[in-house]
Amino acid sequence: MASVVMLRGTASPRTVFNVSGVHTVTSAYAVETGDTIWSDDLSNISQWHFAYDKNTILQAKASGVLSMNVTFSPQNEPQSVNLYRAVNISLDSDPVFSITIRVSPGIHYGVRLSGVDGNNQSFNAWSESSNFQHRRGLGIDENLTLNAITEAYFANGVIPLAGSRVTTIRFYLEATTGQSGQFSLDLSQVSVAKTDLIPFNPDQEVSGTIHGIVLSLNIPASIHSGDQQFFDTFIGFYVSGISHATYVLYYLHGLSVIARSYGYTAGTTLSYNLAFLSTSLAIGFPTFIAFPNSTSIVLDAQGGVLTTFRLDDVSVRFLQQSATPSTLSLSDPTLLLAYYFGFLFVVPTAIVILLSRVARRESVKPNA
Amino acid sequence: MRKQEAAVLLAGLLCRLGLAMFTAHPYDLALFATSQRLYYQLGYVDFKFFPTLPAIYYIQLVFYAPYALLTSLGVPDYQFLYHTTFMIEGLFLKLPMILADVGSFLVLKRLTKQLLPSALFFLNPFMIFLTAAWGIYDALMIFPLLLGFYMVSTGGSRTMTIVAFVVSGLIKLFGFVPFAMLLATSLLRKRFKQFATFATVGAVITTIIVAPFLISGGFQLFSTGIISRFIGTSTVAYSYPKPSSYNLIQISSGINLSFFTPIALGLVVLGYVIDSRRVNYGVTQVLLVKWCFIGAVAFNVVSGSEPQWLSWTIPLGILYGFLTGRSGIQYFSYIFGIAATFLTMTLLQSSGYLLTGTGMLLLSYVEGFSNNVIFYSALTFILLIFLSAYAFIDRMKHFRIEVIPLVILLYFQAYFWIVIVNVPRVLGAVS
Repeated sequence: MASVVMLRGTASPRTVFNVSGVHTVTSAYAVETGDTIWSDDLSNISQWHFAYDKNTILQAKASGVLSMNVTFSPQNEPQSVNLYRAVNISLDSDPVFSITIRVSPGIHYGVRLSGVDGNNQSFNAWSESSNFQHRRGLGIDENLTLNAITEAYFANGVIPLAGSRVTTIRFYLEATTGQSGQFSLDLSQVSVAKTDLIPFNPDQEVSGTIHGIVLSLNIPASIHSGDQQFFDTFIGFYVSGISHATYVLYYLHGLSVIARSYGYTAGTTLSYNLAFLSTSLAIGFPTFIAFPNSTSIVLDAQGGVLTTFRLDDVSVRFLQQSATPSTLSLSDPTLLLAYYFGFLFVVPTAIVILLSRVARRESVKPNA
Repeated sequence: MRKQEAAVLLAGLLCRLGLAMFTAHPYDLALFATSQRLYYQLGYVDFKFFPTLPAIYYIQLVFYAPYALLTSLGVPDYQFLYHTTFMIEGLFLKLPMILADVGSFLVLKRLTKQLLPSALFFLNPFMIFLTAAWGIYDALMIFPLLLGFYMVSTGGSRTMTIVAFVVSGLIKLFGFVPFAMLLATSLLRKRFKQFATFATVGAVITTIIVAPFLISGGFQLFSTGIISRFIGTSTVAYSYPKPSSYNLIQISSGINLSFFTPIALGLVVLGYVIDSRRVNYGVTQVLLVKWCFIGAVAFNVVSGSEPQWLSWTIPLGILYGFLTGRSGIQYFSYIFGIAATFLTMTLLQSSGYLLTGTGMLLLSYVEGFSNNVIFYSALTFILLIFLSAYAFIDRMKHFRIEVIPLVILLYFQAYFWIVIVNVPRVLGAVS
């Protein structure tokens, strides 16, 4: 034990790096929904346009709720009905679309945004793999929250230029080949609010209707450029939310998701959580983008909203990797497997078989 | 006999040392390595974020010291393939577990006075897999647990027995099971002084081990990461990949059974108490081992079990088999170990994971299946039933070689129904 105390902090070379403490956080923001910048009262059908096949029967009305009834006839190819309207929403305010929609079961639907960038070039703010495409109708009201910048980033791989605008919002119903019948789409809310980033002191509590937290970190550039690889992050914090609020944390380097946490449930009273962010969980992406050029920890409330957050501690760990890389080839792993299985299965089992034979012989001897 | 014992010891050590440097669970070992590197390179005591009970931290701190000295003296170390830790470093991190296995082997040998039961443990592929290849620390819990049983059998100091069980529990909470049994028994026998002594010894050791951890800010991790996980109040809402449980009942019912762990502990202690009434609440080794074995099986079956938990049943099964004259469970524990290793390796981790440090399917013909977790859970569930049958059904007192092809047939049957026919999907357990 004496040697343990003696060697503390003295061993070299350095193969671990730890960036920890609240002071690591250079800036902290709570992501909240700001003022509504656009909404449709859904009482004027003339603002909406329809596109559908001639074999499809469509009836629509708008009286606070935009209702669309569609009858698909059997066809040898997929069919769809599009419902769209023109809008003019600047992406500079980081707009979030709030949509309440009810689609009858048995049919699929989706929401698509498109627009023009600062150079007047058109762009899509939707991609096939998005959660907002090809959704299954459930027959109940669904609340969709759609961040236009995030969707545009997914679709194009780049953040839209300053001055970009969403110019069209489109809903669709889609029937597979041979599918027929009567289906409905009821739109009861379409509004757009800007995103507010509320700065707060990282070592103090923040309250509000919080959709997310962004903590920009001061990670020395030498760590990202050297042999070090991100290993994991622990972040301790106090959090509360509305009933059933869930959230996930991401570690982002620029716009790359390096690590992610498990999903957690927030209690209605302020309680502590120690989240653990691992590269093995690094899938998905936050529903909003803030500070795309920084290294940050993003807490993304996905079901419900959080009401309070207070950071306790954070520790980001890096391990040195491949300082002296192995040159062994894995093209033919037979030898490696033979070595592995030899020590794991073959040698021990052979000895056990031999021993059991000896034991049996010895147990038989006295009777012989 | 001495020569045979030495040969088994050497062979078991050789297998472990042969694997320890070239294999590792890249994630788990990196977690341990990080904490030790932080201490020895930066002087940072990682109590606050050490991801398991603090006793492991202390043990590794001691065993890592010679490695830190070696690297300070300029001894080079190398990374093997895609592993996260260095080769000699991995060996030092696994050394306590390997030595614990040796200790367990010697204790079992002393207890049984026969080589075969202890060899069935020490040369069990699952024990080798966990300590030498994976680098997980269940062996550290098993050693003091067996030591406690040894003290019970030799009529040694009851206080030292309690110390052994408490130390075992402080490494992995399962070790507290016999401690809880002894506490309950002393209470029922109205030996209040003994109860107070046991409780005090337990509290003092626990305080000594846990206090530094709590003082340095680890209380929150202790309560949220360890206690809440144990009593099923963890706030983890979901995880990827799904399902996060390796428990067949949990997967098929969709109910998070973590809350059942403390209930299972209570039931096991109650079962022990009722059973011990037959011997007027006398503490006997057979009863303790029997109910610990039942506890090990129960925790694997009813809670959100981890693959390494299967190892608890192996020494307990072997010891119970020896104490009750059941050779069947001793031999089957070995088959169980082979099967558990194969299933964990091919269905949960991939064959290349511990070997190369990345999830490569080196045995692609037996891995990469759909429904792999359910496949694993179903087979381990069946194997645990077999193990229990060997422990308690008189007709299964002795081992029959036909069981080996039967286990293989079960594997193919499970493959047919779960992977090919996709029964879980038919039943709606998976989408």
